[in-house]
Amino acid sequence: MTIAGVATAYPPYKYDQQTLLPALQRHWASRIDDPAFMQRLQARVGLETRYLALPLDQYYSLNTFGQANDHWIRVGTELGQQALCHALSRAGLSTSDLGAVFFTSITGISAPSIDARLINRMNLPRTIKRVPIFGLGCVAGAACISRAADYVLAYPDQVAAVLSVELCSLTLQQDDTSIANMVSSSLFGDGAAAVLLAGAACEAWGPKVLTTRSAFYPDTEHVMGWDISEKGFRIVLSRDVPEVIFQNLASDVDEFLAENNLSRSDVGAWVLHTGGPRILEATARALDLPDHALDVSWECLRRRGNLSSASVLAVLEEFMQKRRPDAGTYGLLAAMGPGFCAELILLQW
Amino acid sequence: MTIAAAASAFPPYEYDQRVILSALQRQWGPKVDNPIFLERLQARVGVDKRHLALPIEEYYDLKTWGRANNHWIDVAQEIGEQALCRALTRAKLLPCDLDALFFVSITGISCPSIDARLANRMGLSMNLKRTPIFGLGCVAGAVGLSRAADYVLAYPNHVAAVLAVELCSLTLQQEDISIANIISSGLFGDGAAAVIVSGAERETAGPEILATRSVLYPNSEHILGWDISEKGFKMVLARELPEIVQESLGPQVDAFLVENNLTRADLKSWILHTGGPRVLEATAVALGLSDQDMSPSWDCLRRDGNLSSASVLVVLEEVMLRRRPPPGTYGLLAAMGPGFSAELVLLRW
Repeated sequence: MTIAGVATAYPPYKYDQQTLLPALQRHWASRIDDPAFMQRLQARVGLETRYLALPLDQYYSLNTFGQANDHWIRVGTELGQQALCHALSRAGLSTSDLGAVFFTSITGISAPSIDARLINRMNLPRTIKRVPIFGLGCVAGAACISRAADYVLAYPDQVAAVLSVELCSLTLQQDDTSIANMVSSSLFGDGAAAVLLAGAACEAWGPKVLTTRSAFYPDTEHVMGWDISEKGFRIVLSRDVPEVIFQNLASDVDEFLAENNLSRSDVGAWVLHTGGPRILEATARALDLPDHALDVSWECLRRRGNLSSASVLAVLEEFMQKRRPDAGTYGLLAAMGPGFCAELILLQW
Repeated sequence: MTIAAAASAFPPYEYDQRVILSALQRQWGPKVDNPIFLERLQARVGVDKRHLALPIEEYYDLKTWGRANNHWIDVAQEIGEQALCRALTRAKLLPCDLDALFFVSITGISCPSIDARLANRMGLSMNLKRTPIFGLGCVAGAVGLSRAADYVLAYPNHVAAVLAVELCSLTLQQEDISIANIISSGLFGDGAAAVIVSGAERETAGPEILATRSVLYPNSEHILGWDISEKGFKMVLARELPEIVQESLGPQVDAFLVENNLTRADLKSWILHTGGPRVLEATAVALGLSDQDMSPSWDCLRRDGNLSSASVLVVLEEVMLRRRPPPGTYGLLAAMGPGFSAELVLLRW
């Protein structure tokens, strides 16, 4: 099983954090007790730029979940097509080569799903197997790579696509001045990413997926997720998330590596979800990683924010395109999400 | 790959169709031009009784999508757990024996997803591979079965489960007096179904899954689906749906059977999605089936209504428990859904 191609796509509206934060501050100024809070938050989050699904001024008139979700369907279909086309051309594959598509998003919903709409737009095979996933949140990009790897393990002569589209800005809760919402509105960005997995019998050039593992942390349902209502998707984000990661990640990673006769020191490339500064710090501390091991994740975070499920795929793209490890290097791709849970993937370049 | 067990679960509130009709007449009577029209439409749906997620009087207070979706989260966990426990018991397995779980629903959303909540409630494996699916609609039960089959093809010593939970009554649009909504309010019921799929190295007494096929009909996005907004999920249901089924299903089934060196005459068992009277009639015409062939689907429709993705799995349970074909019999399990799409699963009993 080989990762034959990875590509991202972003909306054309790119903003400096210095533009976005004051806009949010103006919006909330009258309602938050401590207006300097946003500035301190910004200094802490450390983002530079983010992409948005819509031009900034259009968000002020986004008054209902229905309007926001309609934009999600429209922009999600466009970006999804761009990312998938780009990944196919990088892998030297055509749409007719695809046997399955795992579509995932936690920022909007649609029936028929976006993958069905893309069959019509992109002329994908009419017998493609479609798996549209909602509910896994930030972990879904990694989880879809694992499920796509399972699929091509069953069908070694086929290629499966993972497509993640996250338009986090469209979930912005304009009335919610909770810390969780203010953190997330300064942290999350919009984007799409596609990954192609080729079965063992396909000719492909890229890192191999050796094995995968899903890890679930019991009784942590409350630390992360959506509170869903007619107002849309309101973030649930507990202060405990970094601690849950710190407590659990190392033992899961070590068990997973030991099953494969490896240890942390054998891993040369860390492809980690860009959850946010506190998540990346907790991850580095939990795994006792050397300085610079997470540079790629930090850089992706600075340039685009947390792209939810697409984030770890954007980090993977960066490794594939610009910082390809030497042949034979082991890599660990990992993401975390609501549940609380983690998905681990062992790669070899 | 074999189907080790199938089991359904329903909420405790069961109503005669006449009771539901008179409640709807009270609600809509003053708004529709011809109240007899309601009665005529509902008489034609071929449903005698249905289960509802809540006691019928509680629906009058269900004013927001947020409230409806919160009920969906509560009731989906309860009947989802019941269906999955029952299926595991029938397959002589424990919750911790499951390796993968495909959860599907089109009537509510949750993050963390219902499968994650069930992992806590039921003591499922901490390394369970979870795939929560939203967007496939009525076809999702059959698709879940196909994807579970793909999974155990990759891991022949593993066990996968499909869990479909549909609480269609919680999507009722009280203000929508379109024909599509009036039909669906008479047709759709609430329920859950779980199916256990075992890999080839764990032979069971259940039917074998020989092959599966997904099909999307081009440019038919507008035929069936949800119009999603802050009001919840509004039904999109075009009049031409039965016509599309009647025209396209025959050739699709034949192409699938030819790939497996079979013809329609070789099949003696039909497990068909209980879409409604017009869909079942169109299916019978398309495939040249007798009343006897169609009787499990008609009986389930009368007994439970259209359960969306859970429907075809409930028909499967009925056939496995009470109308089991002789060993060696070939059978087809088929469902249709938004896209417009169909999923075909070839079985050997």
